[in-house]
Amino acid sequence: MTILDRGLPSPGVSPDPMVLLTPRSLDEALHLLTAEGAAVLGGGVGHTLRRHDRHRRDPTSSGSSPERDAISQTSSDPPHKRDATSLVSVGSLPELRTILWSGEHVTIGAGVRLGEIEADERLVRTWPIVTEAAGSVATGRIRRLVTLGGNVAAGDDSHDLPVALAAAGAVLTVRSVSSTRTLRIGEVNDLGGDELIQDVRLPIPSGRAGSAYEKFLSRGVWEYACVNVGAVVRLDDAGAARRLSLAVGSVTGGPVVIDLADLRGSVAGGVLIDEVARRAAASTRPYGDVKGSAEYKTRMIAEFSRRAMTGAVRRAEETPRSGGEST
Amino acid sequence: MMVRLRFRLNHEDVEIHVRDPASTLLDVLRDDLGLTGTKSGCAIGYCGACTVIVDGEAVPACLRMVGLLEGREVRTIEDLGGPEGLDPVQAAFVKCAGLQCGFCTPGHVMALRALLDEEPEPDDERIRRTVDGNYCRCTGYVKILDAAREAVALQKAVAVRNSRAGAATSPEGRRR
Repeated sequence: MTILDRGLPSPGVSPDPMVLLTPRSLDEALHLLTAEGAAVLGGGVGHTLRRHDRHRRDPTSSGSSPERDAISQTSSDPPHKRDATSLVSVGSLPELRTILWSGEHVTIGAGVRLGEIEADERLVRTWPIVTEAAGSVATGRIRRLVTLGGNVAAGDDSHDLPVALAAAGAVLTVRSVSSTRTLRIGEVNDLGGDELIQDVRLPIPSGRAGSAYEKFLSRGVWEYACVNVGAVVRLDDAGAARRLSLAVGSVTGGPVVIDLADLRGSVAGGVLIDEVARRAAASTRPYGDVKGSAEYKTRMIAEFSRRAMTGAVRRAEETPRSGGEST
Repeated sequence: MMVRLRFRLNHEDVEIHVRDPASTLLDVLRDDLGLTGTKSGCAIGYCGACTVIVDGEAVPACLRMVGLLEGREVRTIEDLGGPEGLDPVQAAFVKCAGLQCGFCTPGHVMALRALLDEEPEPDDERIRRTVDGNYCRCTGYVKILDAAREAVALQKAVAVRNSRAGAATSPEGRRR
């Protein structure tokens, strides 16, 4: 066995070393999270990027900055990530590593990697919006590391999975040592310091359902979205939209679920899709940054909402008619 | 306080002591272990220059927290080649001149090594998707893709040669 000792810290190393805890079970992890300064660690990518970003801005500081960054986007750590002095690694816990199917739901463990979600054939068939969003994140090598729970818990408005999951009506199962509760995607910043996301639950679509995810990249490859949109529809046999859902990311407070309730029952065609796109642009507040001005993004939101909804409707129309669905 | 970590590195058991287990594998490889073949490019996981193989998968070392490597198997560019000659992927880059400045080459080689370990005869689409994870700012990728295809051929030739050599030295082979 070779023994190699680390020398002096290199210039990029944090002045405040983290304690890394590697529990063997979910219960042990939940107990560890009750300690002061403990935070959940998924695949480690977000933490590494945040640390890199902080030290690039200010090599002498380990504190966060309010400034939004074009690369690592660490502007606002959610409360459950602030002031961590120890990291509880949960990304390899077997309890969090499964995709389970029941009659009505699919439950994806928070430790499942985005690359695994992207490649899951049953998910590709039932929730293409989710697999497309997972497959659009960064590079394949990064997707091998990033966990679903970490991607969602980051609370980043431009992350891909939260947009898709918000449109799909996902429910997060949140655990602490003393409680189990559920949150919607938009409530993820309510996570307490002693809580973690156990899994993400999605209903299994029935009838003539379709979904699609659209991500617009200003440069074309490998970056955070300029705008990103997810759409979900379910049609009745007459072609009217019985379920209609659209979520928009990369906007203030995102992902924002657009209110389309009064459009249900409309025929799923060009007029409806145009109205959905108009509402998406009118009811979101994009921010200007290196990827585009707010005005530009508003126009892109309309266009990519149109594309996402068109894709979802097309997939729903490809599903065979049931012969009697009316709900 | 130092934290002890044990894992396999280039087929050797290693034990290291790190001040911060949240340090990246890249920093530890280069700064502490002196394995500078793994290059630091963007340091945010995008450029592929720091690609290493962990448990058989190509990953960016700049995003791999070293504290999460306990018990895992890590391979770096220093693991390839040796007294017997270059790894087929390395040999292919030399043969096809798949490099100019060479900075990105270790990342390319490790990414393709992982691909060929998993799929010895990948189709062009898989090769392209693999190379897509590595930036090169010199060559424009034509020769890199040539090198990747050549690596497949060279590896296949090595496998055939080894298979024949094995047959020749086996009891059955000697009888023939």
